Amino acid sequence: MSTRVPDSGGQYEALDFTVRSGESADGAVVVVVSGDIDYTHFRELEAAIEHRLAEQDGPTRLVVDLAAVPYCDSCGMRVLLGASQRVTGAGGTFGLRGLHGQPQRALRLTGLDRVLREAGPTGELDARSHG
Amino acid sequence: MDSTMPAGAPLPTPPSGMRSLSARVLEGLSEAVVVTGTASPGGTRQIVHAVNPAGERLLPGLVAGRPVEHAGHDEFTAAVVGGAASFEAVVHGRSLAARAQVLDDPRTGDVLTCWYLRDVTEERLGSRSLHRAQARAQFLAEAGRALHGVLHLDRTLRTAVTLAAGVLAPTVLVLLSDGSDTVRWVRAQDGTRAVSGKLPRTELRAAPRLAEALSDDVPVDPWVTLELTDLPVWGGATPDGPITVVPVPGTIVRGVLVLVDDASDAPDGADDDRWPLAQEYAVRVGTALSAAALYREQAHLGEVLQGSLEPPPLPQGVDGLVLGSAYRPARESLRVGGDFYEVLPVTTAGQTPFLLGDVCGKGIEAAVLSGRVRQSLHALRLVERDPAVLLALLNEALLDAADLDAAGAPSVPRFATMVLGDALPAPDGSVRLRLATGGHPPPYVLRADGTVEEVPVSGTLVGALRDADFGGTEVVLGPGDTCLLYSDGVTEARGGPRGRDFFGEERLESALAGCAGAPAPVICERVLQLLTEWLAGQDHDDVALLALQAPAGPARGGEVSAPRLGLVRDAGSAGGGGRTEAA
Repeated sequence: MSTRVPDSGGQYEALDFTVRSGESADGAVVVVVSGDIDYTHFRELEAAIEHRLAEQDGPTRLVVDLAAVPYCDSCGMRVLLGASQRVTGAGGTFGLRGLHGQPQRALRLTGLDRVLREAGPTGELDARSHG
Repeated sequence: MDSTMPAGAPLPTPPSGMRSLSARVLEGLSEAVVVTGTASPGGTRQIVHAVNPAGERLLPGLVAGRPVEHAGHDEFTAAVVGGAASFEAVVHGRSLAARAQVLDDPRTGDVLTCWYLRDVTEERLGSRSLHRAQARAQFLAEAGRALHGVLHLDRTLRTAVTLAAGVLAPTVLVLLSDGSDTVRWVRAQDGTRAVSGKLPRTELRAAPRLAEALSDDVPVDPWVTLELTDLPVWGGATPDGPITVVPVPGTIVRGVLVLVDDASDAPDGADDDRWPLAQEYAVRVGTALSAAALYREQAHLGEVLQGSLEPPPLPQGVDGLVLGSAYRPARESLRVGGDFYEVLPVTTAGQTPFLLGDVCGKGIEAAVLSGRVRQSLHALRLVERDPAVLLALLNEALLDAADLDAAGAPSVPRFATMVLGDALPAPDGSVRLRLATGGHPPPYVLRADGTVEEVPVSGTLVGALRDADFGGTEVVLGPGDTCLLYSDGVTEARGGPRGRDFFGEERLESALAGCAGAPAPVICERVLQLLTEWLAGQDHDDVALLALQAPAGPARGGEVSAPRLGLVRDAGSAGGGGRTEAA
């Protein structure tokens, strides 16, 4: 993930939208997104998270990596919020990784940064992200 | 004596052992063989020297020793006499193909020609039917390509009859019902333009079988052809040839494909092929017409939704307050977006309530949610005036409504972001704004001297979290100061020299700074114009702008009408809700 987005009004490289997911060594479900999460793509992310969560038994630690996401619109925030509510509602934890640029500003602006928190750098989740 | 060589014939005389051996070999061959040559060395008359039983079957009547013309096979005779290398003929309904092999008899110096004949009837038939099958497949493939993606009902109909005219029949008519009060018809003759029209359904009273074929999934009654000739769809040229009616199946529309042959020119033997071809064609036409009809319904739904989301006009002539707005919905009609704004009439307390927001999602969902937001606020305003408290109440109302919708199931969050407030003009020409935001980009204030300030107010988005808080603040606009509310479609519009860069807050701020002193509608129009240039024709999300301004002059006036910048049409006009197309 070499793509980084300069701040406000910044320029970026156009990326294809991809979602990869897997489990980290410490058992967290990690979903790595690349590209804009917008109206065109949010359903792919939604489906990928849905698919991963369906495989899990019991409380899940879900980490969504947004390091290669230059833009996230309200549809994307809705997917993240929905995933967070679902995971934490079942006793698990939700965390974001690599948050930066417009998605970071958007989460701050909407107040969603209060529920959609940063996961620890190793995938260890911050205890505060519970519920 | 060999049976193929009757006695009495003037035969050349090869050694008898040799002759009988070759005769026996010939007899045993399944391939048809005929040997021809001159009757005598150096002569000109061609006779049959030998013919084996297989050869007799293909060219009956040939007898060894007789002249070639004796049996009356003209193509064969012509080929022998003309020294052809091959010939083809149809004899008694069988197709023959023959090739010649010249044989020199080294003993006599005679030149004999051996004809190898094949019955190619089945091959020819096979390749003809293969050819027809290929032509059918090609016709259907071309029709599929031509019909696919037209997505316009009348154009699809025209294409359907034009393609079929001259292929399925000289004249083709399609009648189509979409369940409305009229039946569309399109008629085409090979090589002429399609003619179309509409029939009121009442015209079908005298044509009950046709009416049935156009409304129910029943086999077409053969007597429908009599009804068809009486319909006013033939342009004076009532068909006098045989009529074939094929149902056109569809999910939203239903029709019939009518094939009219010329009276003088009844369909040939290929007619057996025509019925399945016409049926298959009708299925494709039905699919294309259904898609077009569905698209039309969706587009209509989109327009209705778009209309319901369209911001209402700004109130006219509010004392002590200048209003301006611009709204540019996302281009695709079926992706109705979620930006909305409104300014309500002045309350009895002299306040003008306003609102600008953005609901997540698009289409029906967005329309329903923005309707719910606006209706809820109208009701809540009856009991609460403070903007921040209003947002908190709205948040609860939306969450409760979402819980009801979900009925216990885990619900997908639906939320909105917005800035709302009210404006109260003061006697000194200033305007006092009360503002609150829920997760929305904070408004800007453009001072009369060109300074641009971001209003320091924040709050969580509305309708997503029970544990939300909404900031409120007050802003005083001096004469000529403007407060601009905008949707993130402005700052997140992608364009610029590289085509992928955000318009961003900084460009918006400098655009605003360049508008100092301009009336509110002009400011909105100018920002939209710069944004249009930035987009350079690219797709964009909804864009909404709302400007509230304290009048610049000492005189307190009403709304200032928007001077035209000439570059962007009908945007942010005083009427509000102006639609702007890409320049």
